[in-house]
Amino acid sequence: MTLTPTHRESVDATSQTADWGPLSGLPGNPMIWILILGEMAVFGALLLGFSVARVLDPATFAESQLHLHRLLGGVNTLVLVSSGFLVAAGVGRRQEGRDPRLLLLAGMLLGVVFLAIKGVEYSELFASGFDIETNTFFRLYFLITGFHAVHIVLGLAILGIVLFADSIENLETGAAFWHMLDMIWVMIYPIVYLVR
Amino acid sequence: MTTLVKAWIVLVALTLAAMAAGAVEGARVPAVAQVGIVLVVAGLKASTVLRYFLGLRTASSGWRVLFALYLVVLCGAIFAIYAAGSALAAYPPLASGPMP
Repeated sequence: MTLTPTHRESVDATSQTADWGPLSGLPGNPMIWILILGEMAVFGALLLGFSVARVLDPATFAESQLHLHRLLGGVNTLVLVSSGFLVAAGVGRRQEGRDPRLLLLAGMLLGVVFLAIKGVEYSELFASGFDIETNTFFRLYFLITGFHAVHIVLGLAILGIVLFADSIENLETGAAFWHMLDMIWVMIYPIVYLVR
Repeated sequence: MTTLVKAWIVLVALTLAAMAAGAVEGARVPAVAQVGIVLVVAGLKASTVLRYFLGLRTASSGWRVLFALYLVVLCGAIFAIYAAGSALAAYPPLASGPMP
């Protein structure tokens, strides 16, 4: 269905005046928080599943984990928290009535760097003969980090949109999704790469 | 220095500390304690992102409690799983022995 201008106005008015209950108290559009809470549940379940699988087969997990690039995993954590910082600073600038675009673009650039480093990690593993079918560890590793990377692509697309439609609410909405990915990665990195 | 910059410095420092700890080969502390330390640091980082980047420190107390509970329950459950796993590994008869 295409929205006529009248429809669009009524949809806008609804989203602005609708009572979202407790969700109204969070930054950005309440709709994004439904997505964020869902994603937190999914990634939480994945990390719990990873931990259970590890306990069931500690030898395979310990041996397989040695092949992960710990340094690149750590560098990627630094990249993503720095990206989150730049995006948060960009939202802050917009709230002060200044232009947020340079900070947002810098934050997005670091998001691209994160994906590039992830690509290097994957290609090194593939070159060494490890892939999603190698064993349970690599199946979960590729599932969890790949699912997260797909969300980074989605987060970059959302940030790209709010870069142009840069109302404060839109920026807070895009940033909220981005920070959720940041928070999830700071949990993935230690559990998948560091815990032995 | 703004709160945001301080939060970023804390995140970078905790990440560098975790990377340094991860680079040390050989167990200096018992495995379960290492898991506990890593999870506490991860939870603190996640909480810093939520409070300062996402701005949840100004959200209602209900939301702050909910997100704190998420991190505590997730990290606590993962720690419990590892602790149970290492207890079973330390007493293999309990894990694989015949039932009396």
